[in-house]
Amino acid sequence: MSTESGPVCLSVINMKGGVGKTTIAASLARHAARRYSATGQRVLAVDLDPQANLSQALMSESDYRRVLDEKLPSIAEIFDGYLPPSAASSSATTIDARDVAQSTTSPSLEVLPSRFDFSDRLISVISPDPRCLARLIAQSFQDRDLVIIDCAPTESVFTQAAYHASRYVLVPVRPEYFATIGFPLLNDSLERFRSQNRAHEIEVIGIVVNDATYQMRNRGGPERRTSMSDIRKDAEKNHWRIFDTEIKYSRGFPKLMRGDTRYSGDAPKEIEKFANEFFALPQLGKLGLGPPNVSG
Amino acid sequence: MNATDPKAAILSIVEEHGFEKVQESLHEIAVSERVSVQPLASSAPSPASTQRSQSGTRRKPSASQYVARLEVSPDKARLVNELATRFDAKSFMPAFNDAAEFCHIYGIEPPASRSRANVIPRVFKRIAALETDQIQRIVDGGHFSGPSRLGPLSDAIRRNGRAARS
Repeated sequence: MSTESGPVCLSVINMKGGVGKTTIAASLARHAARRYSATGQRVLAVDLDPQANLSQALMSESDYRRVLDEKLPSIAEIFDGYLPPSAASSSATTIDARDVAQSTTSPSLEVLPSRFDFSDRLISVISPDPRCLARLIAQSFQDRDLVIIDCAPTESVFTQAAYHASRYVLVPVRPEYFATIGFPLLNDSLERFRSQNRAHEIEVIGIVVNDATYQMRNRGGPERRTSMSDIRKDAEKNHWRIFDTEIKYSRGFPKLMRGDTRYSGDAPKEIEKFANEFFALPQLGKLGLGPPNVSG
Repeated sequence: MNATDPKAAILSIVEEHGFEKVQESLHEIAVSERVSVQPLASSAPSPASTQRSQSGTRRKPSASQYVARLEVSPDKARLVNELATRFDAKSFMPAFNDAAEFCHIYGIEPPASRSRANVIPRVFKRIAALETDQIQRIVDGGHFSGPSRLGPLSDAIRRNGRAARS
């Protein structure tokens, strides 16, 4: 089931690494896919990080190995714009975006996988076209309902590609000094993007505080309080919402990312709490993913 | 955890180690303590879903035995049997929660008892109802097969890194 105006495209970005971008992107994608399993609606996850952790989290181990071993097309070929000559073809061939989308355990969720050598595109003399992802979604994925893009933690052509494809930006942040510095860098980067792309409306939909209670419910002490105060001041300055739900530390998150369902602690509950607040936002109303009592 | 509620304590152990491991441990304890364990009347399996073992106790059918009774088209039968064989070998849905995840994704209620044996009917009935290409994807993709490991991914990256950059 697709919506008339196409999917809602959302990027999960922070210029700082280790704040939980991939975990939150993967968890939101899974949450949405699970809700969509009854309605036939569909989610596309896009892995724009050469570390490919989103791909590894959403795909099974053997599916991801097949992407590498059988040289299946990935986000790298999407940025190249063609499939290189291979055993199957003696010349370069056009790429069908739908062949790039890989299945996950959920039939409602597919992923455009990344690959470690995707980063080679950053050091190439010819820079990739940052609009290619937006074009791809416009041409081939209008039947999806939600597109979630996981970004690498540095400003690059990949970040620009995420901006070009996105209407909304979700910013995970950890309440600690270095993580908060990623915050003004993102604001600066978005301001530059807006000034160069005046017709493009891109909005920071909110900031989610992740690992809010540190490990084992340690409350973080004065450093956390200082960092939270800095985050609030900066958010207010930029008119950015901070979600009420703070995602608390759980040992279950790394297990869920590995596909280990045996013991996931509080992680599913933490994600559900945040997802219910997140998808209840009026901007995301058309997704029909608000809390069950709100969306019916 | 409520110290006065043994069920809560056991549930916590089951979540960490899986139902079958805990059941095995309980059995070992029963043997070493020479405790005679009688099955609970309310949880005794129904005759329709069980078979009698050589020792006379009722046993739930394995996944392979269950799917042998299902009516599926020949193209699906091969794939469903493959998954049943993997289930019995614990390489498909090795833990109860893997099966529960399948139930959530495919919109069926997981059984209240956290036992792999109890999920067989509802999981395999649902699998048999999927399109052949969907079942093929589960078979090929190794879906619901437990945690990913670094080793195979690391080897694949090493192999392909050499090929891509040489």
